[in-house]
Amino acid sequence: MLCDIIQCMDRQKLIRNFCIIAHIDHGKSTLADRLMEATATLTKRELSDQMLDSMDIERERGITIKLTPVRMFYEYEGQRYTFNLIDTPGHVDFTYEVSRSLAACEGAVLVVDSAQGVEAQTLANVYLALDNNLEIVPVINKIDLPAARPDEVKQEIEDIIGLPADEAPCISAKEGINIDDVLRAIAKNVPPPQGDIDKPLKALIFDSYYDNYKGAVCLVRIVDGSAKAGDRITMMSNGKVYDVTEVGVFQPKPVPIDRLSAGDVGYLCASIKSIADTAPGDTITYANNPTAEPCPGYKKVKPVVYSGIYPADGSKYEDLKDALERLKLNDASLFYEPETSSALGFGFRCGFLGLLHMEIIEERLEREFDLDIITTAPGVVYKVYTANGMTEVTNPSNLPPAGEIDYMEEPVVTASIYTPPEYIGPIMELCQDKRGEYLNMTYIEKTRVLITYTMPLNEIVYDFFDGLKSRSRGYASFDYEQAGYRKSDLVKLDIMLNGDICDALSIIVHRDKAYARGRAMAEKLKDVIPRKLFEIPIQAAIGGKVIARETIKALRKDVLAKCYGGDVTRKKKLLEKQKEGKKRMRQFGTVEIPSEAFMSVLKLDNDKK
Amino acid sequence: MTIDTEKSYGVYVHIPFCKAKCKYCAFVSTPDFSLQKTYVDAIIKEINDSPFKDGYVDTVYIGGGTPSCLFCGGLADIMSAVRNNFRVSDSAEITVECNPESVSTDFIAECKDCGVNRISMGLQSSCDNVLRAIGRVHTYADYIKAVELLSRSFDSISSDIILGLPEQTSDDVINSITTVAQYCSHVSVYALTVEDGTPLYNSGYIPSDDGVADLYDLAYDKLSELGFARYEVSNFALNGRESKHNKKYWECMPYIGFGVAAHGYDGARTRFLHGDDITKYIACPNAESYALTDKDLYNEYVMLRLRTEKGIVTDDFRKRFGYDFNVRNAEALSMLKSEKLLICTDGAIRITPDKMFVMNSIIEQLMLD
Repeated sequence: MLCDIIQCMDRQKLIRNFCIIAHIDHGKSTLADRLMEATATLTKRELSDQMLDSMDIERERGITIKLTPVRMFYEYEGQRYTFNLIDTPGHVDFTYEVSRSLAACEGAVLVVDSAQGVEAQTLANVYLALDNNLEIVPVINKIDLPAARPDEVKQEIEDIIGLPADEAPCISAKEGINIDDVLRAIAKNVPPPQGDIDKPLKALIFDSYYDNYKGAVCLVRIVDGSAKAGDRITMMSNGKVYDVTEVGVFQPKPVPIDRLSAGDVGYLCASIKSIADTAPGDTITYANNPTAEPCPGYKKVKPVVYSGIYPADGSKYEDLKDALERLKLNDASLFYEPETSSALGFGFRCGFLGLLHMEIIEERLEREFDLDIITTAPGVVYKVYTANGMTEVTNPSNLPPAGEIDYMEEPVVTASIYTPPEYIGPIMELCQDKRGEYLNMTYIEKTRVLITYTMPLNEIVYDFFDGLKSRSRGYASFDYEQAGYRKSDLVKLDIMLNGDICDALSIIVHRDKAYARGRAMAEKLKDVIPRKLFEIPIQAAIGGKVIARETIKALRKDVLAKCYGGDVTRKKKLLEKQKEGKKRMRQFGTVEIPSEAFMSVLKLDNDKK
Repeated sequence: MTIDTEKSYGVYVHIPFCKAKCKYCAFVSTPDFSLQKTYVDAIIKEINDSPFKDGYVDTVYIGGGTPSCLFCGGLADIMSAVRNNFRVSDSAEITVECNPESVSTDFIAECKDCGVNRISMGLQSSCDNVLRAIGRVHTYADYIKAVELLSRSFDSISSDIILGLPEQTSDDVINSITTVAQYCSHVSVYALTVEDGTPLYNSGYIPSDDGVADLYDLAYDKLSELGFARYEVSNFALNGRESKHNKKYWECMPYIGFGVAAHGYDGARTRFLHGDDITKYIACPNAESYALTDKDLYNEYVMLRLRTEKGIVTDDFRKRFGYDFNVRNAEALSMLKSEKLLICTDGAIRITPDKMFVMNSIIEQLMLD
C-alpha cells in the first residue's frame, strides 16, 4: 500500500501537464508542432498529416481550431518524463473554457513574439494562468526575425507581468531553433501533479467532443484516484450516472489504455449521449464512492451575445434547424430557440459566448451547411425591471412597452486596450463615444500603453473592434472581461418601412445614441433597398415618435434600352435573373429588402470613413 | 428543314466593320478592312447554303458595324445573293445602316441600284463635344451633310439618338430631335447602356437613372409634339412609318441572320446564333441552333410584346400558345391593372404609356419562374 503510494508519487514526479498561452500569431501552434517533432511524438510527415486530421475533427466538433491534448515523452537527466500538452482556445469569448483547460495543468508556456512584445491576449491569459496557480515558463519566440528584440521583450515580461524572464529560452519555432531549451525548462520548472491515487476518483472535464460511435468524449485531468472501463461514474453538476466504456490518451490519436490515474490527462467515454452533459469544469467521480469536493470553479456557461438567424430563403427553415442541431451536438455553448419575425418569417434566436463565437457559427452554417442566412443585429442580454419583477430580454421585439418599464440594466465589460502612445487620443475618443468610463492608463514601456475602460457590451458588439482597428491603424490590441450589469437609459429604436415596423431591424440603444443611429440606419437603408414603382418612406422611431425620415423615390428607369433580334435570349435571361434576385429578397409588405440590408445596418460607422 | 410557305421571313446581314469603334459599343466590329472581301464571300456562301432557301422574304436589314464602309460592290453582291436565294417581295422593306462619315454618292447609288429603300443612320447627339466624348468619328455638320444627301434619294430615313451620354444636356436632346425630325420619318431613342468591357465602362462613367428618365420624358414629349408616335419603347414613327423589320423581333416573327454575331429565329421553337469571331466565320460560315422550351417561348413573347405600344394581342397569344393569356394571369393582371401599370382593352394587354420606361419590373411579374 505504502509502496503503491510511493510508486504513484514517483510516477507523478515524472508527469508535466502544461499548456501554451500566447497572443494570436505569436507562434503557439508552430511551437506545439516543434515540441511534438522534437520528442519524436510525430515525425515531420506525420505532423502534417496529424494537423490535417485534427483540423477535420475540429471541423466536426468545435468552436476553435485547437489541438487535442497530446502526450509526449521526453528524456531529461536520465529520466523519462511524460508531457501532456493541453491546448487552449485563444480568444476572449472562450475565457471560461480557457480557465478550465488551465485548471488541468500545473504549468504554462508563455510564448511572446520577440518583435511584438506583450499583447492584450498575452496578459489576459497570463492572469488566468496565475489565477490557476500555474508555473509560467516564458519563451521568447521568433528570434530569427530582423525586428527581434529579445532582451527588451524579456524586460517587458519582467516589468509588466512581474515574471523573471532572464533565463527564458530564446527560440524560433518556425526555424526549429533552441526547441530543446523549452522542453528542458518544462521538465525543470513545471511542478509535478500532487494527486492522491487512493482517494476516490476526482476528474476535471476540461473539454469534450462528440463522436458518432462513442458518444460524448470527455477530455479529463485525473486529479485524484483513477478511472478504468467498467467504473460507475457520475457527473457532479447534474448527478447523471454512467458506466465507463473506455479510457485512453492522445498520442496524438486516441489510444485506449487500461487506466487513467492521478496526474494523468486523457479521455473517458461512457456512452454519454449529449455533450451538454459533459460541461467543461464539471467533475467526474465514482457514483458509489464520490469525492468529497468537486473541482472548484465550475459554472454554467451562458450566452452573452444574441442575434436572430433566419434562412435567406424561407423554405430552408428545416435545413437551418437541422444545421443548428448538428452544430449544437459539438458545441454545448451554442443556444438557439425558434422565433418568428414579421419581416423574416421563421428563424431562430441564437445565443453565443461572444462575437467570435457568433461569427464562427454563422460561417459554419454558410460553409459547411451551404445555407444562405440573414443575421439580425447582435444584441446583449438586458435586464428589464417592471412592476412584475425582472425579465431578461435578448430580442428587442420582446421589450415591454416603454410605459411599463421601471428601468433597465445592461451588461458592462472591463476593456483592456494596448496601444502605441500616438493613438491614445483617438482611442480614448472612441471609448468615450462608446459610453466608456475611464478606469486607468499605464505606460508599459515607452512605446506602449495599457488603457482600461468600463464599457457597455452592446457598444462592443456593435462596431467597437472595427473602430479600434481603424483608429490605431491596426496597432492596438484589445481584450475584455465581463463586469456585471449597470443601470442605463435604454430605448428601443424601430425602423418603419412604408409605415410598418420591420421587427428584424429593431435594436435596443442608449437614448443618447438613438437619434444618430436612427438617422444613420434610415440613410443606409435608403441606399440598399431597391427602388420600387412607388415611393417608400423609411422612418426611425422611438416609442412611435419618428426621429428620422428618408424617402426612397419611385423607380424611374428600369428598361432594356435596345432589344432586337441579336440578343433576345440574353435579354430574357437578364430579366429572369433580375426576377430571381428579387425572390431572394425579403418581401416586407410591398417592399423588398435584400439580405445585405440587415447586415449593412450593423456596419454604419465604418462606411462613413 | 422545311420551309413554311405561310411565313414571311426577315433577313438580317451583319457587317462587322467600322472605321473606329464608338466608346459605348459592345457589338462585334473591326477596323481591319482587309477582311472585307473574304467576309462578304463567306456571307454569300452562307446565304447560298441557307436551309431557308426559297423562303418568302419581306424585310431585309443590313446592319453593323457600318455597312456604308463596305468596299464598292459588296452591298450589291450581298443583295444579289439574297435575291437569288429567297423570294424577296417587290414591296420588301430593305434597310441599310450607315454612319454620317461614310455616306457618299457612290454608296447612295449602290444602295439605289440594289433596291435599298430605307436608311438608318446614327446621329446620337447634336453636340460635337458629346460626339467626341463617345468616340464618334463624325460631327454634327457631317450628319447634316450626309442626311441632306440621303434625303434626296430616300424618303424613308431613320436616325438614332442616345440618352444619357457623357456631357449631354437636355438642350442637346431637344436639338437632336428637332434636327432628325426635319429629315426622318423614324427615330430610335435609346437609353445608353454601359456594357461591360467597353471603354466607356472602363472610364467608370455611370449615367444617372433619374437623369436619363428625365431626358426620355423630354424626348417623348418633343417627338409627340412633332407628330412621331411611339410604337416600341425606344422607337417612334411619323405617319405609321414603323420599321417592319424590327417589328418582327418584337412580335416574335421569323427572321434569318447571316454573318458574325447575327441571330435568327424560325418563328417557332428554334433560335440560331453565330459566333463573334470574324476569321472563324470566314472559315466556316454557319449558324448554330438551340431549341426553346415552353417557358422560353412564353417569357420571350411576354417580354418582347410588352415593349410595344400594341402590347400582347390576346388572339395572337391564343393562336400561338393554345390558351388564354388573361385566364392564366388573371390574378397578376388584376393587380397590375389596379396599380395602373397595365391597360387591358380591345383584346390587348399593354403597359400604361407613362410606365413604359420602368417596364422591366412590370414584365417580371408576368414572366414564368
